[in-house]
Amino acid sequence: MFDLNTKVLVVDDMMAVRRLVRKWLTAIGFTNIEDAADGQLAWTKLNEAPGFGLIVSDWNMPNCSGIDLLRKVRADSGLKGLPFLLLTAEGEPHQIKEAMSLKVDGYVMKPFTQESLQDQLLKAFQKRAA
Amino acid sequence: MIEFKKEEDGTILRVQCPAVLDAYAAQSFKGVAKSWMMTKNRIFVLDMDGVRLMGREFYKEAIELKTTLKRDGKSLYSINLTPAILRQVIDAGLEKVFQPVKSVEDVLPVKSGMVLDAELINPFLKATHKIFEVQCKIKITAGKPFKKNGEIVGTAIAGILSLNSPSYNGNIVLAMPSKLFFKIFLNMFEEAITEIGPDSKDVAGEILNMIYGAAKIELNQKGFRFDMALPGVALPEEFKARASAHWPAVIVPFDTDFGTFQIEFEVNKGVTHV
Repeated sequence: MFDLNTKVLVVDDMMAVRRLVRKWLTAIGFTNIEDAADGQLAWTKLNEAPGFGLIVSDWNMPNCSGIDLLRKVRADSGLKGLPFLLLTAEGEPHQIKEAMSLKVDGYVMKPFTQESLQDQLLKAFQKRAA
Repeated sequence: MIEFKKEEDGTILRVQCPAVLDAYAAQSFKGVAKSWMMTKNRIFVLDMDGVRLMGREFYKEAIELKTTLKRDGKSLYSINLTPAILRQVIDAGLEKVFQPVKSVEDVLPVKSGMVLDAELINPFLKATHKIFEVQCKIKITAGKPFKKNGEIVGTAIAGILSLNSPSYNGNIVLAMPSKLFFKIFLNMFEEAITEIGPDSKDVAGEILNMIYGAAKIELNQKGFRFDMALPGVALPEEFKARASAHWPAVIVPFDTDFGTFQIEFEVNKGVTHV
């Protein structure tokens, strides 16, 4: 099981998705959730407010995409170990391969449900705990 | 050997059929069709101008060609069928094999290289069903696609994706009435709303984004080249005012218990009025 005190950063340019993810993370039991409207704003938050323990990010966003944010996180000595879930409608084989090569922890395909989000979170945390 | 003259432009391969399509012609057709299938063309058109006899042996070869093309994400059409040949095709239950159309322009309502046909539209239909079922929890029924002929009334909100990719140049629009939008919002967030505002409107864009994402996977597996795109949202005034409202479009209507919504495939022909 995952630590429900983990500080989570939800990144999506669509307010609707941020709201939905926040709602479902809360239903799962997470209590410390913040959000950002693109990868650039997320990057600023990660650097200005430390303590995040999980990122759930969309792929396709303006300014800085989810895959670019993942790349930045993995290249940063202080953040590279952060669990990172991509939540996206982008599911072409080459895209999944690219995300895997950047050691993404989970890949939640849209359309998604609370169950599919929880399932991917659980897998991600279990994999890390192993 | 019976000759089947062909013309091709890299997108369409048009075959002029001989007057008699009997067993002998079918044999010749079989031989040359293999080489046609090796080409890059995506649309194959059998020009039946002057065909006065078509035997069962030719049906078999046409079915074979259609099956192979379909497997490769390509299309087969036929044009210039006489009333007698058309009747024969219908009576034999082969309309879907020959897909008779009036002219090549009918399969190219857009421009060379971009075809609004079942190969392109069906993945969107499948994706729309999936997204509405899983994300919106609303049952939908697709209607028959039709060419846009005037303004669609009753649109309260629209998600719009502008695409300029090798496979599509235009917009894909998800237009829905307020009652349906409110129901989607309620189902997704367990919160009732009675007006569309800044906090709720991007739901329409996100639903379209999901539809496009799911359709794109299937389309690109078939050889199309759709790129990533960011959706926008338009309220009624913006929706009516946009230049693309006058572009040629194919519309697919969907019925729900909360009103009808449409997916519009708008095509940029480089003109603002048609």
